Amino acid sequence: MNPLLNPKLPEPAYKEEFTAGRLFTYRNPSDLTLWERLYVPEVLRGLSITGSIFFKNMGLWLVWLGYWARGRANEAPRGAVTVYYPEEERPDMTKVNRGKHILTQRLNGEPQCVACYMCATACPAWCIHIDAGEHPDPAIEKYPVRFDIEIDKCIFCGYCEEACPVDAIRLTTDYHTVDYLRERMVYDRDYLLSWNPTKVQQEHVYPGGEPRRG
Amino acid sequence: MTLDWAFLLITAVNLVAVIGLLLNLGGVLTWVERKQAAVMANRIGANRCYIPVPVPAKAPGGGWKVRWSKRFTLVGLFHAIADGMKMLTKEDYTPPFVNRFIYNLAPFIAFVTVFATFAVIPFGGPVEPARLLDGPLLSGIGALDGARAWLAGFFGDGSGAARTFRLQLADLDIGVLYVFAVSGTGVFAAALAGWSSNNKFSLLGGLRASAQMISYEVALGLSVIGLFLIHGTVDLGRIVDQQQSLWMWGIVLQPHMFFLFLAANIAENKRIPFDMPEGESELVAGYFTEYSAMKMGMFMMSEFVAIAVIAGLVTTLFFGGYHVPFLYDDGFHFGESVVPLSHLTVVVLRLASFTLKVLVLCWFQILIRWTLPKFRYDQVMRLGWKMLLPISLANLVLTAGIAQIVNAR
Ligand code: SF4
Ligand code: SF4
Repeated sequence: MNPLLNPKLPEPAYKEEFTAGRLFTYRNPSDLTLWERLYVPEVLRGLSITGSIFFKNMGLWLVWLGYWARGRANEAPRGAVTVYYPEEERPDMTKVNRGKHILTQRLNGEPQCVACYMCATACPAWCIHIDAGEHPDPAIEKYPVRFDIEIDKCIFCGYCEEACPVDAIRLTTDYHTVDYLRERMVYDRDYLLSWNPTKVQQEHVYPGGEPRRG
Repeated sequence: MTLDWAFLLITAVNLVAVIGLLLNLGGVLTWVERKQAAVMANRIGANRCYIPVPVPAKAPGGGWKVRWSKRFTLVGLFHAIADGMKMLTKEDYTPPFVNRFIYNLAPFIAFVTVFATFAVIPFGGPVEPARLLDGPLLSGIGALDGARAWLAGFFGDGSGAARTFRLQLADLDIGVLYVFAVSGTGVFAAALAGWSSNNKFSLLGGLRASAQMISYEVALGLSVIGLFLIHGTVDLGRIVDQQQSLWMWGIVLQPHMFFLFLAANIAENKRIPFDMPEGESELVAGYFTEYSAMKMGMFMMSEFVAIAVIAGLVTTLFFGGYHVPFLYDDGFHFGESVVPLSHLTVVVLRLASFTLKVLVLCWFQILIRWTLPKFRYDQVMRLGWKMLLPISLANLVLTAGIAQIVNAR
């Protein structure tokens, strides 16, 4: 702290020294009282705080045991504030969280994507890989033969979503991207077109209206 | 000279008890440490490790099959076993640039010194094997007569008198001095590990360990000299004998020294808030940076066992050792009224009392470890030399004066 701003220090002496440029202290003047500097009482206070939390939670555990014995473990008051993923999920997950991608579809079920590579270019993680094929309809011109997203490299920045000119790629709120096999973390075109977000995630608010899905 | 078989047998039993207690306590404490930290921080803590339990289930095509679907987690206790298995089966990598002999020796020094410290701590009251089966319930059972006769014969001194044994591995006159000597040797483990690893971080850790040990060993010894003056001995067995009455417990006689002694002991054990030698945030892992697998595990284990040893030492010096308040050799004495108890009951009660005190003190040490932030290095040194040392010296002078006055009367 700047000694000039500390009201507890005798101001004039410091001010003179400081303005004269003779005093440059990089050490915070201690603003502990004598009682706090005795250390042991404050340590005991800290121990009593953590200890009381410990005993409160152990008491709650006993209460839980009572509920559990009657087969109603879920209704017991809980002391832990953490969420026990994957058995539990946070109830307060934001509705506009950026998670796994989906590809939107045309009315006939084809991908909306026109393989323009805009998303792949915008992607800072370089995790979108597209091969373009020629579409029979000359008004559409191109469609993706291959559309892979390496979800383990994706940083969920949403740039792909913003870059797309035809609203073909969207980020859902589904964040369950874990898997035991690295191969399964590359999502191909058909998976991106067809997978459905889990139940919790279906309440997602899409800023541009609902995406069209087969 | 003939071999004293009775003494050998008792010593063997003591040995098994001490090693079993310490090893198991060390293992359990690794779990307690995590679980208690979690409970103190409103978390759930380690409970993923499980043993699958077979459950019979209906097979789709009729009939039954076994599903391994139930998980037996036992509040996470298996994590200690999983940790041990992991450490034992990991690759034990020795870096090419180390001094091999000393590098391999260091973890064993750490391990051995910690265990050896416990040898002089009495963990149970005096036992008279000949009287073990005497109580009001057992003496009625005629089937035990043979066993009783054998006990009396084997543990007698030949002339018919019964012998009394202590539940203490080594009944040394120098007691506490031995404890300080052996636990002081423990610093060699850290210093040698740091030096032989040939790594800057390790060396710094080893140096810090040595400096810290020297600073706190002084305060450690001086802080309990007051108690020795009062008890007039350094033999731990005698000290515990004198703590029969609640008013002679160290915590009543010298409550302020309890804090000093505990602080110095935690500093010796190199645990937070005194974990300078390890210094995770500065020195990677300090003196055992270059260790892997079970050698690193031995450093960790010795740290956890040392928690139990410190708890035993503090119990012995400050909390009356194995004594239960008001419990004498023949039962509870409340003023004039006496509740007689059999010898076996008294022995078991005292063992339980010692174990309970040790467990509570282990809990308290872990509570400290998860409450206090780490010291800075200069703060550690200042606390050691400018606070603990003068306070324990002043206490020594004061206690000596008071003891002189009391004795003169
Ligand atoms: S969210 Fe970002 S990182 Fe992920 S695919 Fe889209 S552009 Fe790439
Ligand atoms: S998803 Fe959109 S941006 Fe990406 S290639 Fe297809 S149309 Fe272009």
